[in-house]
Amino acid sequence: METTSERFRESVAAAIRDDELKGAMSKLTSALRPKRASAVAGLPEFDQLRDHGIAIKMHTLDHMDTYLARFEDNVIANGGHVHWCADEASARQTILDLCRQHNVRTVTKGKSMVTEELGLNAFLDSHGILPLETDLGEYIIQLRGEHPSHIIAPATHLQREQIADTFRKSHAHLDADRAMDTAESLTEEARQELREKYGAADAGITGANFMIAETGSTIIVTNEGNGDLTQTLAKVHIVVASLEKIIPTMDDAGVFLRLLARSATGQDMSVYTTLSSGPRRAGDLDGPDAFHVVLVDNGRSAMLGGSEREMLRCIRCSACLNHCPVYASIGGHAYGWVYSGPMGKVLTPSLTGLDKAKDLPNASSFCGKCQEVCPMRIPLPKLMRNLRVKQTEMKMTSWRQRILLFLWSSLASRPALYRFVTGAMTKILAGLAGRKGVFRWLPLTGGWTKMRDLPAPEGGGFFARYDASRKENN
Amino acid sequence: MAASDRTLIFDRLRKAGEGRIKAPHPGRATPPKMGSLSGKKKIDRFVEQASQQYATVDTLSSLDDLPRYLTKWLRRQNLPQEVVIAPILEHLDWQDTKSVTTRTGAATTADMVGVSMAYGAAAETGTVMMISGEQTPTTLNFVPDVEIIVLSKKDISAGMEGCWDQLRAYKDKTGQMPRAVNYITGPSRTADVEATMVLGAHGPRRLHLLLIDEASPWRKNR
Repeated sequence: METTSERFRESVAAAIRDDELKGAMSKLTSALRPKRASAVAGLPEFDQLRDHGIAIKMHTLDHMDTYLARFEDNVIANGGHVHWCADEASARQTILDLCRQHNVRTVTKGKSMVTEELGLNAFLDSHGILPLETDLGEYIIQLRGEHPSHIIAPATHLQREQIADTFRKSHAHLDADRAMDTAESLTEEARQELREKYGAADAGITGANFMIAETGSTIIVTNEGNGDLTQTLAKVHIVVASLEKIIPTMDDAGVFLRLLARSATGQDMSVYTTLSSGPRRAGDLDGPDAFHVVLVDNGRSAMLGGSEREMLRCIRCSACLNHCPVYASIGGHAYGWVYSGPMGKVLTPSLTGLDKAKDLPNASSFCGKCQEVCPMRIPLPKLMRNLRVKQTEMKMTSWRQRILLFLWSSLASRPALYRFVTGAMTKILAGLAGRKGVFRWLPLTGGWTKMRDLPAPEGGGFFARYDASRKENN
Repeated sequence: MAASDRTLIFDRLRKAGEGRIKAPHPGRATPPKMGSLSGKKKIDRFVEQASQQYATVDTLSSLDDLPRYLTKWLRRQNLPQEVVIAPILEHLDWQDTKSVTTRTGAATTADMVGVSMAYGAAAETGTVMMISGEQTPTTLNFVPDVEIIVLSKKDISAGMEGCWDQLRAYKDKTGQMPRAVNYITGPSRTADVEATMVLGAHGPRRLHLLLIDEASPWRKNR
């Protein structure tokens, strides 16, 4: 998929002025934050399971080649096929070739973020194959020609009225006066529209939340059931998954499943968790005739040997998005690529190149909430800081920023000068601000003072206070 | 092209791992307390959790009672007296009920009510485990509006660990995993519109679970 992360600043400026977006985002965070908190509180062993899950991931990342090879052997033993794709172009071509091999004209799709990376829908469309998203959120944004703004709630940037408008335009064959004012009526309308599509599709494409080496099974976790209808009713099931989804055993899956739903939606267990192990067997009355797994590297092996390795532990729960004050303010689209929120700020520069997404790791207040709620305890602030260091070292930052940093470090590394300058500045600013103690305007602070007053320093700097308190104590 | 991509990926993976001290596998995790219950507490937990997830749960005195039970239940729910049943339930005396019409096999979008049999369950989360195969088609779990699942209490495990063990035993006996294993916790739902939970997204709107004391036909054949 094309990235617009280079235009992050402009996108943010537009997003924070978008009132509809603001309303939609507050609905998401106010629903999911308390749900996660109570689900986690309901499982006393949550932190132990977290540590166990991390240990499994660390082991697996150290033995990726072994487990992927074992997975491949077992998929083949189950009667399926495995296709290895080093990059985006190879993955798209492989999927297109599979579609042609099976005479596929229409495709139903379960939710998959890696196919978003590949820009698969547009690619298939341009080759005469019609892709249809079946997850409710994905269906809505496909009708609108948009991309997901959240990894598990793709249409979370929209309000009900916007969705009703989209359905009114797209479902022109339905009664124009029908009721469309509730989440229930909109869900029901999509259900009816999609119901006959699953069985009519030549192929069903799904992602995978996990792949089990022990059994050669792929796992999808959903609440709607669309993923299962997609992969059960189509003639061919194509699973597209990135390499780091591999885990060693079924028992390991049990650990991650206990963490995933609680972190994501605050459920103890999602409604549907399905293991797929190959095509229809002799005697089976349903299921796909062919089973393909398309394994996509697209930057993962490079991350494995690099400083963003820990990011490969991510299980795509979205807890970091749901708890991020930046994400809650700007929504997912401003990030400019497939992944958003804190995990996107690390993943996007790692996968698309730091030069294309250099603003992302800088857009953080480092409050640390993302790392706190991450079931895999990925040190997201540390990884963002690494990326900041990298871009400074590679001189990607602006000349203004570099000059300011140079001045700052010259000052900060000379304690006497630092105390003198900051002490003087404090007094001058306090004096300038006068009795009100705030600035309504100050050079270089326009971004702040446009919306609110800037408080002036008061009562001296840190050292002045420190010295004063020592004197008092003595 | 595919073969060279495979080589390329494995080369990269091995190179990334060079010189690293490899972390050991931490072994099987200790299941949480709520996934380690036994006896009546385990069954109660299953019922409580499944109900919390919007499934309805009832008890059958025996599997043979299913046809008569369904006649009454369907009438009470104002549902048509037509069901599609899994082949594993075909041996029951469906003629006896007179009013319920049954068809045996996979489900289609024309089917309103589907009836199938669980292979296992996890009390921890109120989850039933369904396996695909000629006895229990997968479509029964997803296509009809109403899904009815019979479950033997003997097949309820405390947590997921018991289900994995069951699958491993299945694999050891038959030489492979079932094509599909569906863990199901309540009826289909979504929260994609304004984070509001709505039941019946694409899968069944209702999930009705029927517990029996006797061993399931699965266990008799195991």
